[in-house]
Amino acid sequence: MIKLLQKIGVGIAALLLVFTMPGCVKDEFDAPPAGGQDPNITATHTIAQLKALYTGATLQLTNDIIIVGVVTADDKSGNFYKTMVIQDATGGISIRLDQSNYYTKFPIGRRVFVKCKGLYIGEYRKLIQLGGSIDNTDPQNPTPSTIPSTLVSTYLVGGKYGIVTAPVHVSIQALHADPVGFINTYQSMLVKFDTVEFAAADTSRTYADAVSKLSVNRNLTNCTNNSIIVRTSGYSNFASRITPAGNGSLVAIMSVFSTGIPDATKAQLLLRDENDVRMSNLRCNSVPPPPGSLITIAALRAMYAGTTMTVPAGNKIKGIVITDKDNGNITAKNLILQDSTGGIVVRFTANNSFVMNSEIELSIGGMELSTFSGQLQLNNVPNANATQTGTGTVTPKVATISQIITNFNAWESTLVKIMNTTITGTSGTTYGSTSGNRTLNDGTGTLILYTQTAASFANTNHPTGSVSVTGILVPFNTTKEIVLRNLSDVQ
Amino acid sequence: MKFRYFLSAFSLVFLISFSTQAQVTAIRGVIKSAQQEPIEGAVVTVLSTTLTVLTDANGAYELNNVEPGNLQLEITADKFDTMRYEVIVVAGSVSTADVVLARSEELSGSKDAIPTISLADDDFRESSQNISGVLSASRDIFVSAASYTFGPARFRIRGYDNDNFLTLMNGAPMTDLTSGQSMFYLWGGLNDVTRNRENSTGLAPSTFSYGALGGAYSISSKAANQRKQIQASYSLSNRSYDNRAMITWGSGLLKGGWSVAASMSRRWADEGFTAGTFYDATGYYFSVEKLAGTKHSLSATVMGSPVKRGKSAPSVQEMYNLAGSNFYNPAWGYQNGEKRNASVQNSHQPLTVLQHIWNINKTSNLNTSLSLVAGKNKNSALDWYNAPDPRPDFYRNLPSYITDPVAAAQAAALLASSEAARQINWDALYQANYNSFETITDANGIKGNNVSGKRAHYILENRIADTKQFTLSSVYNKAISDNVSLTAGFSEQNQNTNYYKEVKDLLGADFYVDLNQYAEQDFPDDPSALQNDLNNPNRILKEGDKFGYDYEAHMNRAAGWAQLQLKYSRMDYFAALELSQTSFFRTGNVRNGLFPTNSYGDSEKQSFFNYALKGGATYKLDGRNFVLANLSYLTRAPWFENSFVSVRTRNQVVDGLTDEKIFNLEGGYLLKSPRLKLKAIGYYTQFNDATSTISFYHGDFRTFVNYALTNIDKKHTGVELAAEYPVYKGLTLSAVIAAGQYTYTSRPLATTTADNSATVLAQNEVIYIENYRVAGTPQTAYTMGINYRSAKFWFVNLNFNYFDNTYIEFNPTRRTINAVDLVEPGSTAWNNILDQQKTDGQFTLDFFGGKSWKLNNHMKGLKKNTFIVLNAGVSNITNNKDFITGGYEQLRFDFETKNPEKFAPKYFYMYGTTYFINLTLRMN
Repeated sequence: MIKLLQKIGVGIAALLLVFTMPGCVKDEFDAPPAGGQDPNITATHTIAQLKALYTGATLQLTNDIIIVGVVTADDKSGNFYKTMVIQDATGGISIRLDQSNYYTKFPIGRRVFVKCKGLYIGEYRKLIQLGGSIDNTDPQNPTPSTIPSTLVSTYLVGGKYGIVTAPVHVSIQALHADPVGFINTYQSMLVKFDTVEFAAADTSRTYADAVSKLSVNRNLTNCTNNSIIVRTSGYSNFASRITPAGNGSLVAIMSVFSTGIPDATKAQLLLRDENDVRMSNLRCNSVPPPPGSLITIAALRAMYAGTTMTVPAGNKIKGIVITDKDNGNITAKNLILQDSTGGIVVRFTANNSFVMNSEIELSIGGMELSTFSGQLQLNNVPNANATQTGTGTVTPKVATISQIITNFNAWESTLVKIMNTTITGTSGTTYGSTSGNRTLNDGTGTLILYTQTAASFANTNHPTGSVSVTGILVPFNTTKEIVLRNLSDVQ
Repeated sequence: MKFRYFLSAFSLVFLISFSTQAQVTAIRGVIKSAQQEPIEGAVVTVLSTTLTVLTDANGAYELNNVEPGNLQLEITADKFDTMRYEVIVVAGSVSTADVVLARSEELSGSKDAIPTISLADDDFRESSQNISGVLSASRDIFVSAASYTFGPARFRIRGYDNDNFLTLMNGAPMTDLTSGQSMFYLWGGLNDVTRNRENSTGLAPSTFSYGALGGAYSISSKAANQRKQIQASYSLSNRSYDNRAMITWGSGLLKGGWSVAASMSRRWADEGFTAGTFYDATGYYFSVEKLAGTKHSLSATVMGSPVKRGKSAPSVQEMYNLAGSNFYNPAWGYQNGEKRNASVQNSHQPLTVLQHIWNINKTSNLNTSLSLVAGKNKNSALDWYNAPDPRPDFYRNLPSYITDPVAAAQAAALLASSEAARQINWDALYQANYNSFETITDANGIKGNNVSGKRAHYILENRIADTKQFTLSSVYNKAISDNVSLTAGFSEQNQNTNYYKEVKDLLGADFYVDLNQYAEQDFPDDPSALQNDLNNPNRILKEGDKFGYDYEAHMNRAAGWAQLQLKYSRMDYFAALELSQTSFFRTGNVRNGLFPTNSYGDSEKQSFFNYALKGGATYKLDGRNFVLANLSYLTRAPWFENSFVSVRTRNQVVDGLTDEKIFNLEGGYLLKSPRLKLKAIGYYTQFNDATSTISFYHGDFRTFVNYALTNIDKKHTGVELAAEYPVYKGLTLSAVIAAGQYTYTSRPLATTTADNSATVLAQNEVIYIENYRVAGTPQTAYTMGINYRSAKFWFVNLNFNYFDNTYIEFNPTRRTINAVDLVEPGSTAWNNILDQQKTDGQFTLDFFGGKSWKLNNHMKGLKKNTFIVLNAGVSNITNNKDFITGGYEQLRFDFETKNPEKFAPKYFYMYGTTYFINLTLRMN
């Protein structure tokens, strides 16, 4: 038996020796390379050479002209409709094709081989285009019309995809210096403007009219007030988005729209989508924010140890103005600033102009931190120490009077809202024509509602029923008071 | 010595110096019954020699002075089945050959009585046909498992295609030259007379042919090889047929050296396992043989297997689910309340073989065969003209095609609830024809000849292959010395197959017209383009008329080969070379309107000169332990069916048509001990430069295309392990493992040509399928068998099987750069397009058993030995209905949406539980 096993062992060993079976088991299945492949087609013309063939009269291309370019604009966002823009090293050109959602086949970044023989080259309002036939609707201005859908694949052959075309950096100044030359050079090319912003009147507005599906022009300006139109279709998927208020860069296809008067070419920019706009910097000519490091209002209040002191240098705070100077229920030199941690009175050296809901930054280094009638304030702050950085709102904290009394010190100079309270007065039914003190009672406790005689609503009668009251908590020495901003605070 | 150097050049085997000193070279052994009783008086003969001895009272025998090598012993004994046993004899040593004989009542070939299911019966001449049908009756444990146990799972030995196996009938090669497939179907149902077989597995040398990569099978059905007896059997089953009756008679050797044998069989079912299928097959056989003296035998054998059967077609899983059955068959529909199948095969191709065996002298013989195959194979299908696709599972009819969810749900509910909605609506087809009154102008090409009537929108067509094949082959065997033998032969095969279509049924219409509706759509302004036959334009067709395409494949293959075998005490060697010349051309019988200049007449003749060589060595550790290694390299001409861009329409040959190159290495270890039998073979096969052509609707080019794939390389590696061990009296355990990996190793190139214009749409498009798996067979298959054989003449057998790594045939157009255009690499969509589907591994359990009775023991009046034998088999006992044995992705792919489910893959499922009960009466 052992002998037999030995022989089997020898046999199997010999088998392994003899039969060197390739043991590597490849489990990796094949896959085609991603990114597509270029067809075996060679360009005969650059795009610039092709465009040069057009000398003012629409013309059918009868030679075997082939151009190769990379798609720089497609119809994915809807801002380009039945129009594709391709670009090579020498320039860009628009191609009209009667196919919607062609981006599924020819997206931005795909190399496209255009077999031009049989196509027409012409212009629409000075924009040079390739098309499938001539549109003679306006006999004075024949324009190339779209390539029929079924013929698209015979003229356009897709190649590799995922190719990034870097935009050309240009400036609005250059456009203004030589509009015709600029347009000729950059027409249908992907361009990028740096340090530009939407004109003040066009900030925070929609790119286009998405409701009525109308195109809208917005002005893009540089810091020397030169401008260019950004035109957006009401059909684009970002038509209802808001233009940014900041300053930055904008990438677009350089286009043109001539009104017909000789040489009255008008440059316009067409965005591919909203991502072409990157404007988060400060606008031109805006005052730089004050130097220093930002601390919270709570941190500032915590510095105060009971006696007048000077805030250490290098600090600033940022908050929203919760007082409404326009309704006069606050001294004109003062405002109250609140951030997410607390609020504080700022008393400027002169009357201030910050309206309610302004977001401001304030340099406080060296300022006096003291109390006035028991309320903490930054005193004698030069008006130049404050800079508006934007706008914002503060949502009042909803609380009962009992909670307010308990937390009064912590909540001092912040906005609160009391629900279901009554307003009663011992000296009249107005908010403050004679004496400013009225009493709020929500069933949990009472609180003084104080209104200055200078307030715009001082002579208005207060309601007698149950209302909600929003206001700022203001101490008057040891009295706990609430101060309205305007009549909207009583609902 | 020169020869040794030659061998060392290509053999991987360590060369061991062999001794040739003369010693006693002998075979000794004991012949016993299955019950371990010694058999006295058994005749032990060394085949191809005159050496014969009788066993003594202990069953022992001794054959002295035998020649070394692989010898075939034939052991005959009264009341026992004749047994052939191979023994390897080492020069100068005594080999042991203990043989167990089965009583003739015990049915040594009992397995044959239960045919396996995936064979000729079901897959009759489909491309999925596998080799296993021809392997039956093999005593090789592995081969036997491959045919019976693994057959239903569509297992293919080593993953090889059918064209890598060779089958001979009475010495004549039975290869269809269009595809290289063996024509097993020629003797379907004639199981009784085709049992006598010799096999050579893999590259092993044989005395009857050069062989083939996977093996060669020589069937001898001539009269003298048929047992002297009469046998009748009846079988009951629920597979593709329900009933089978066979009767076979053999005369034995008559006076004057004559032998005569005849056999008839019938197989039939009104409806087979799959709904809508039916089966009606006859087998007939007649052979007469004359022995002239001791040297000459001349035989003539005629056989045929006329078959008519309704087929089933695979479908998409969506339809299987809606039908609630994985055996849904879209090929039929109700007509007047009766099931009618549109896909009917009707085939009859009689085979005649004349064989002459000349035993020239003690050391040489010459075997010459002449064969003729002639007959038609018809397959019917629906054809339609300017009418909607009538196939019930056409993709536009599926709920998944409907985008509106409410409508899709309604369609799904209808298909789920109504069988009629899932099947062909014959009534609608007839109605469409009844309501179609048209006038054909200039009919039959005659100006002004207007024919009016009901023009068919739908017809049943027959696609016909009418084959005539003639072969002449001769094999010469010569023992040059004790150690050296030579085998040489030649064969000439000539085949002409005419392919055409015929109108089978006008479905109520008056006529059909021989026009190409697709050309009519594509070239509306060209009146000649739509003509299928420009020489007979606007031909009015009646039932039985030829139409559509009509071409002939003319093929010829002439081969000569020689093989040298050397046998020494420790080592055996063999080397063989075959040279062949293959030529073929196409003749178009009609001038197609789309291709008036190259559709009619003869194509250019394609000629290929090829060679094949192989060699091997066996090292004999002793009489029981063997190590072997074989090596082969060959070139092979492309098959006719893969050589034309669009063989139906024109003479255009595939660009870059070239020989396929095949390298093969196999080796392993064999243990032939008296009890434990073990076989472990490894193989490595590399196929290079294969060509394939397909035609289909291309989703990207939006037209019907011809697709020519070249540069297809494949690698098949794996191991075959088989072991058998008798545990206890009559109880035997066996285990077989076939573990392979069959992968594509190249990126083939596809040239896509428009079917209607011959315009090249894409040249040498790369198909990214490296490491994709070869589909259509489980790449791993396991079985464990328990067999008990009682002394009381009954036996039972149980097999536990597991199959895994079956892959679905992939669509090459989905593995291109265009198919994944703009798809994110690695995304779900990407993977859905590219991944090759692997089916789930599955267990099955099979049983078979049998019992026999000798009637003479009960009825003393019987003069002849009379036996009754009962066999029963149950396959897939656990009724596993979720076993996908294969399938293919549809070739159409939607390049727009890139959703592979729009043209979902189609699957084949293995039958659930099936049985086969067979009762045989035998008198001899």
